[in-house]
Amino acid sequence: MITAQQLADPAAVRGLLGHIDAIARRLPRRVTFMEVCGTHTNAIAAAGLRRLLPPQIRLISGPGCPVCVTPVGYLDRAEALARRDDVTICTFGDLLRVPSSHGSLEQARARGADVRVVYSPRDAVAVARAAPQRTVVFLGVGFETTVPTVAAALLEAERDGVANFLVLSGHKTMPGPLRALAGDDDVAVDGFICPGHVSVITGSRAFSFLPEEFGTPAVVAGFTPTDVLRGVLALARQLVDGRAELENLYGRVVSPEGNLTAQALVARTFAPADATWRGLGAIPGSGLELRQEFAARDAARLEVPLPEPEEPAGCRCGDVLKGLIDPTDCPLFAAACTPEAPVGACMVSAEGACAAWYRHERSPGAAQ
Amino acid sequence: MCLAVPMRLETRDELSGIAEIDGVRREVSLMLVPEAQAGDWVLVHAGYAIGTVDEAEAQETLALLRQAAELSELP
Amino acid sequence: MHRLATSLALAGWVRNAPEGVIVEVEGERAAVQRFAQQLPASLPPLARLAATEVREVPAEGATDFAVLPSTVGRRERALVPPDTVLCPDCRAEMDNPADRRHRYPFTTCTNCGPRFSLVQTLPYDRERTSMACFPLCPDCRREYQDPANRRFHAEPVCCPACGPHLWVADRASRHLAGAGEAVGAAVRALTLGEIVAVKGMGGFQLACRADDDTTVATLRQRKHRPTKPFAVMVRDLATARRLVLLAASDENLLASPQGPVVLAPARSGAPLSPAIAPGLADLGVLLPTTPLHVELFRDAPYDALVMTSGNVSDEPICRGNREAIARLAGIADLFLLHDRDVVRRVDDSVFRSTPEGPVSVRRARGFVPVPLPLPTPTPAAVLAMGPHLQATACLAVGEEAYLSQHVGDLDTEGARAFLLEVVEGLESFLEASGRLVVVDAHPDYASTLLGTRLAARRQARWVAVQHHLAHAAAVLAEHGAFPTADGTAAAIVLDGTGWGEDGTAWGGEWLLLDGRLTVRRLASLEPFPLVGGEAAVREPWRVAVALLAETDPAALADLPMARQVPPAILATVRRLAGQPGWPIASGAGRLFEAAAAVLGLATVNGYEGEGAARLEAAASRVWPAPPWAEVTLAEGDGVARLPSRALLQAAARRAAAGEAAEAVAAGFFATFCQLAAELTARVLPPSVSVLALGGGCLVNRLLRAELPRRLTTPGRRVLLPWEVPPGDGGVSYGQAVVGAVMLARGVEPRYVGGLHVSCRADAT
Repeated sequence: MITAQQLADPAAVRGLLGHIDAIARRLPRRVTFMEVCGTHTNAIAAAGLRRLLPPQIRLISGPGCPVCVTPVGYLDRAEALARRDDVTICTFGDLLRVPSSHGSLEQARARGADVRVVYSPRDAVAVARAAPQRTVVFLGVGFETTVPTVAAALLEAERDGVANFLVLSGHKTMPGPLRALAGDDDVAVDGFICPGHVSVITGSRAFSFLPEEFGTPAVVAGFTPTDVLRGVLALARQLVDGRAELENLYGRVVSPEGNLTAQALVARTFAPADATWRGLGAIPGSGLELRQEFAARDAARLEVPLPEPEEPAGCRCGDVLKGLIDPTDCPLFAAACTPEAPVGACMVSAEGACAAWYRHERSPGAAQ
Repeated sequence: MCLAVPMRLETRDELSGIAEIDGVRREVSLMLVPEAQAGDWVLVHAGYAIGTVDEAEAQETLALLRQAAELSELP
Repeated sequence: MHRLATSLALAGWVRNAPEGVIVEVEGERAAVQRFAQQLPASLPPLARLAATEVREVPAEGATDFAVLPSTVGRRERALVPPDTVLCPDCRAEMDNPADRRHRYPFTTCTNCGPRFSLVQTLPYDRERTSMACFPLCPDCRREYQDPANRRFHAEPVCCPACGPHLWVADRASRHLAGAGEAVGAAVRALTLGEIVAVKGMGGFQLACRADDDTTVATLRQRKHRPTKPFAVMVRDLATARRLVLLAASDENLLASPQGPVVLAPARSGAPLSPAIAPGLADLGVLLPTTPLHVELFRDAPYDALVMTSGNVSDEPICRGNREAIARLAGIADLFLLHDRDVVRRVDDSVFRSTPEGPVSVRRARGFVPVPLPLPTPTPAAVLAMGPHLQATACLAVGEEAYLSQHVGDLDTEGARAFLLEVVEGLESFLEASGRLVVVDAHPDYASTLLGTRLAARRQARWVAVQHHLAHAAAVLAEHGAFPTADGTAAAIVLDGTGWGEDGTAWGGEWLLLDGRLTVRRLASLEPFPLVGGEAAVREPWRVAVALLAETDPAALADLPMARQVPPAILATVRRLAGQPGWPIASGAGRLFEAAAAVLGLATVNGYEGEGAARLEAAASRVWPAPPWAEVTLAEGDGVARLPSRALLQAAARRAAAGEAAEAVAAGFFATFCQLAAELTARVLPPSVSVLALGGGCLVNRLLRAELPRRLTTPGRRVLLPWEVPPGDGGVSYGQAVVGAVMLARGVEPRYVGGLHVSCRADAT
């Protein structure tokens, strides 16, 4: 069990916790801060930060894991495509074991489907280049950090005339669900810790709507425990002061405007579309689809038989993703649903809240 | 999957370069950060550089990657 | 020298002698001084100035500068230059249609071409090489004698009129085409996907197109080489850059006069058959070595050729035309032959690229016979016979150790004969006879038997030196860091196997040694049984099962390796693992191979170290990775142990839980390094300021980066092997170092602590 002390400067951590304790006493009520990045989820869980915070401050995980929020319908389409003889599926590794209505892609592969794990969309283009007679479908799942890489790969395929490289877009963008959560009275989030590397691409300004439209404090923070605690402290201070601002605490890496080259490539290849988020439902304009001129590369236009999507019985991923319950409140957690035999996406993906809790937060002496 | 790995860019040509980390050398596309120079530290995600960082930040993130048990599972 | 002397208006002479080059110059004092100053910089690229001695002698009244004939005699310190690749000047002549050596496949000059592989005896002159049977034509003789010419005294000089002849033959020895058409016929055959045996500089090679799956598969099948990677010769550096990721140091090495094979990370989408290096992330490339190779690419549609040693599986490469046709008839479709004899077999050298620079994997062409340093001059010649695998021999004379070229695995009669050939070559070149013969401590190695017999015949002393001590000595000596008589040094040696002083097969050793050759075994890997003996080395899944024997048998069936080995057999071996009597091993290489087996990457070793190589390739895709918190060092214990069982069990658990093979492989190496660092902190006295890392596992890039990072402290420097192969190719050098120290300091290796055996030696 790695403790916060082992990961970061113990003196700094203790100092920050001291400040947080002091500020927390001045909070009018119990507050809830939400992080929305799988890496933050893991960092917090691994360092046991949740338990180090005073009782007035509750830290929850939101929909920060792109695999977890991918609806079953997308997975069913991917699995159906995989069963076609002429199709090669290329996917990031963390999608491989997510169950669809007819089993996971890994199981499809065991039955003879051509499913390959790639580390980069460029690798999928290389696969397409090497096998012009096959239809290569890349499963595009991921937020703003990943979308530009798929856009770049697609444009490379265009430039080189690799016509058999297609994308099945399940891409989503963060502002949409954050708006939904910020405006949702059931969820009641008092402050957001915004994702670090997504902000490298989007720029910190992409999240300024949170204080400006909803009056909710927001920070962009790095991944070390000290960074996360600094973020918590900044959010608590804003609440005590009655401010609502966007503070960029990751200025060494994140600029206000972000990576304009990447944003331009995305704008050339993708257009906003409505998307369904597992557990959150449909959120307008929160997804990305391929632009009309790339219709020939849109794998969603390929005809495949699709089953009626159904959520597995008892699965409460949706509520976990909204932060309404902790993973331990789900009846299937650590019983029917484990990393070895997952039921819902929150357990499959290494970044899912349930997977993170399973690894770090179940043992009694979890954080010293 | 939102974590990008800092790597040192050794050489580059027009659209891609060779970056190195802890003994391993990998090809990275520079399509998203065309202004990166050889010698820079870049953040790499899914085979693409997505931004540049200074060396201090890079080393801090690397230390996290190397030492923390199960901090994240990278693709 | 002639050019330099005449440019300074000096008179005198120069002569090649066994003890070196002797030059006398006389003239204006200032000019003489300038000669001495400018001499080192003015030497041609291949000359190596080992030492200079300057003496003033009375002027003789000479009026011009003459090159005198060489003197024959007992050598003290002369070298024949190593073979080198075609130089740019010769290449330009070959490309020039107006030059008389246009497209000539034996073009050479003072600065390039075969040397060592042609020489029969010293001193180095044409009549003592295999060019002796090609008398110079008038044009070549003019060049040879003209001091201003680049071919002045270039012993192998020749041209289409007077030089060797080229021809192609089929496997029945039938002459098919000669002279001008031979190259064209070979290129046509290669284009069609045929396999051609090419007589290269140090022996025969087998060539075929690298982009065609069928051709490569055929070569594998005929050569009985199912998975071991092939080297690929590419047309030029631009092609190399398209295929692999090269750093500046790699490009310099590829284009150097030594022109070795460089193993570098393959680019994705490279247009080569995946059968060239199955399951690996690296590709070995080299540039055209000789004019003949250049011609094979000149008018060809291919940019890359497989260029592998001309042998069946791992036997020594063929040297002679008749030998090649006899031995390779079952492999090659066509033979490209010539009549310039290869006197000494030399394989291509191989380096592996790492971010900090290239590391030697095989030391041969271009590096032989360049000597290596000794920690102390040896009072008498020491002959080291090397180990069994990747064998080389080494002769230590005076202040230097001369490592032979790669001989290979000593499993065949041919290889053993080659070892003796190489020993004879070293001793005749250096005109020394080893008075101390050093062999490996393994009683059954062919080199041990040959060495002890040789010692008996010449009534010389012999001594057995423990395998991992030799590895440690090699790394220390390479850096000039072998302990002085009162000093100490430590070493971590990781390899597949080596006879341990307690009769077990070591390979994960923490050693402390001092300048008096007292060796203490501080720690090692936790040992495990090799169920099936040798079979476990060939089939590392057996090692995996033995290490997992304590886990639930049903869990074995969940592992990826259960898809390649029937679960019933896994269960049987698991049961057998509990029985006593199996050989015990503690080799890191074995452990890595077991991990590769567990992950389904390689349940059998098609070649030595295949499992470990595939494990590294998988891990490198997601490296760096965090170590696993659940594996820790055990408390207490006499000889401290790195927990092999717990480490492999953790890997198996994660694999069974569905974690991707690459992630498990990366976590495995990260955890191994962390445990190694903790173990080192536990057992190494803080006063030790030098820690050498050695053994065959040290070609692994991840270990080379991670171990020094964790082990270097302000008070302790960590040494990695670079110039001398970390694998068994470097053992003979380490043996020679130990032998030299023994003689110079009057000490003998003494093993204390965890290891307990007398040093077997026969003092005559």
